[in-house]
Amino acid sequence: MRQDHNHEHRTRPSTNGSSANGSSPHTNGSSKSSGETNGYHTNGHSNGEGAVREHDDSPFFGHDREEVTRILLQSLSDLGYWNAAKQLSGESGYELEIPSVASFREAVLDGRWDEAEALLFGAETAESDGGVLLGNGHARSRRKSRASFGSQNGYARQGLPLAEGADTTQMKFSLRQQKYLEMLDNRELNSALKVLRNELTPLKRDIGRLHALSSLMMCHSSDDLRMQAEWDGPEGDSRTLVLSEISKSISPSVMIPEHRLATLLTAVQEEQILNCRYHNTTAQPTLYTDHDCPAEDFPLQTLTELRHHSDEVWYVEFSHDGSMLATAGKDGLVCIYDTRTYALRHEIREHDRNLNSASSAEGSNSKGVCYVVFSPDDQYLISCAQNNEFVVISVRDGRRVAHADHFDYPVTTAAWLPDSQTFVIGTQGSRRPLGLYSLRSGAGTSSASNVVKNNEIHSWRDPPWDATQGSNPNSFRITDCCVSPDGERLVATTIDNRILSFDLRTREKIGEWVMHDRLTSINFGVDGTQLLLNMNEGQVFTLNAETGEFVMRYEGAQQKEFVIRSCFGGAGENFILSGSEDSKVFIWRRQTGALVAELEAHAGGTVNAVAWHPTEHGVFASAGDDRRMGERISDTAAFC
Amino acid sequence: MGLAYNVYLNSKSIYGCKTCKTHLADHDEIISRLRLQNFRGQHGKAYLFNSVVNIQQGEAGERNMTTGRHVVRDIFCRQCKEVVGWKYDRAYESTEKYKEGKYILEQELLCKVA
Repeated sequence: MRQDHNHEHRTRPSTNGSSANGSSPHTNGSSKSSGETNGYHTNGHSNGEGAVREHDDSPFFGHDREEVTRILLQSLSDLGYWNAAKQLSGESGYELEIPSVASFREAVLDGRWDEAEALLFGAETAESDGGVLLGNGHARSRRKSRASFGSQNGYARQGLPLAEGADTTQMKFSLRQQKYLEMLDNRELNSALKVLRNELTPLKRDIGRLHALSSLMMCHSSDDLRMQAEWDGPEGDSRTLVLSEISKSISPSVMIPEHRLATLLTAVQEEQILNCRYHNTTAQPTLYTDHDCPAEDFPLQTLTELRHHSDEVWYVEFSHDGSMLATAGKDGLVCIYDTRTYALRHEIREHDRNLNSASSAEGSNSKGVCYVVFSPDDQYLISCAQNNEFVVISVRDGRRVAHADHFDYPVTTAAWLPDSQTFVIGTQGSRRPLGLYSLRSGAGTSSASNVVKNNEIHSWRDPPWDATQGSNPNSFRITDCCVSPDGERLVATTIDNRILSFDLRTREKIGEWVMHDRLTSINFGVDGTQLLLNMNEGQVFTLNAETGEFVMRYEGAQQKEFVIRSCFGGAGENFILSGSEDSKVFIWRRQTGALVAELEAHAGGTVNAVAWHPTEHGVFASAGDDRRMGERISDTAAFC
Repeated sequence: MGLAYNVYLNSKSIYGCKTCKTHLADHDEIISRLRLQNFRGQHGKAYLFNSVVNIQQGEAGERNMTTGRHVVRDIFCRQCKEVVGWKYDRAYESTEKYKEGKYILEQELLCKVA
């Protein structure tokens, strides 16, 4: 028996490993022998004296009993049920933490730094100053440990086993930094200086931080120190934070990562949500059953078709509060519907009217409204037309409040800033491709009819327009644009396949990405971190809004000749919706790219645009060439 | 069928549709040889271009022109649907073969786009 013990203790150091060896302790397995080497039972390595508790080693439904019990112990303690935890510990014979870990934890929380370091790394390394090579340190401690096996705190001499890739220098730095800060806080300046000189500096780590720490000595009072160091003092959370940080580097079988059970449960739930095809809700699913949303809650059936347009419908959009729906089409008409009854509220023929009165006789076929957008407060609607102008209408009474016709080419897109007073207009013209406009009339505009005209407050053009030159070189032309939800950034796509990104406050260009084919649609996600794009030959994908890195691709939609648009939608923006040239509406799961549904709609023509209801997650609308506007709804919602 | 944006040319000198300013052709695409300067269409002077953009083609038909028999089709501006010229599909005389597959735009129906 003794021999066995000897043997096992001797081998333990090398296999448990320091970070240099990089091996994790062999804590798995339910065989008796490895159970011994883990040494976590209360009576475990008491030197074979009597009454070793018999405990069940049988696996728990395929999982290691010890792991499960210790995780349960941790969870019970986290929940605050201390008595239950103690009882469980007694009954099962397992302990949450071996005594040395518990001592380490207490040492850190009480501020006994030297003891903490000794416990963590082993007595040898604590005595010598920092910067000792890891190999040496452990070799020395190994020899010592042979002499001291059988003590309750078997690890005391060699420190706690560390996780793979643990950075001992960083851990030492954290401990010593906390010690230094606490001494400064206590106004023990001399001791603090000693710590700085003899313990922190030899670690040769993070010189910048060292300089910052030394400058903290100049602080007059502890409040000043705390503010400058962004540190909340020994009685605050700082000690717990240091403990958390270090515990990440300690082998997980010795010190179980915090809230392990919660982490596991969250991971499983997230996996289930990702795999749930029709997941159209943001509510947390129950843990009692495996989660899977039924198809009934998903909009697959047509609710109603709206047929006011006499020609192709090119664009559709819901108002931000979901109460109205606007459509625009080739017949030059803009229709606004009420979404409760789907009755027509306004029919706006602004662009039609213009044609009749204009003396320049624009061809009667060059009309069509290609874009409409509601202001964030839903008071105004901009409509952009192919006859080289845009109009802003007040939604309440359908009256025109602003317009601009100083363009030589079609106005293709518009986007509001969050203040509902300024907006961006994109056109295919080279003279004024991208401009910032305002509803507030400046000094120079007449307001005979209170209509603000041509009120451009800034123009983006590359190269900038030089009025002194006879002819200016061509600039980029815009196909679509969008403004981030916080109003900070403007992103626009050009006709030569580039994506331009501007800062709206400084009005400077901050980024440019080149794509390899025509871009027809761009949208920001509601949190402003992702951009959804439609690109030619049937590509729908999302990019990171800051870096332009590709995030996810959505396959299946067809797009070759026409402008097809897509949008985010559904609860939590879980879905991506897109039109397609093969008369189908495509829906994908945003996070995984999985195709959720491919719906036949608008038979015989392309599906030009789609929009999802912002508040009723069971409704979305699509616009197509068959002059119809279809609404789809889930079975369970009630609409009249 | 659907909304489609026009193609825009990038050049110093571009010809566009007189009615709607849609870009039609690049000046550098004109095929110029001494004889060719004198194309005449229904409205007067016309130019022969290698390639044009934003046009729709009509039905092919045989026509007798001053230079002989050809198979041509009318071309229209895709935006405003006005006739802007024609395209040569086939030329029966061997001396006229160079015109095959090329486009004629009538100067009267064009404008210069900066």
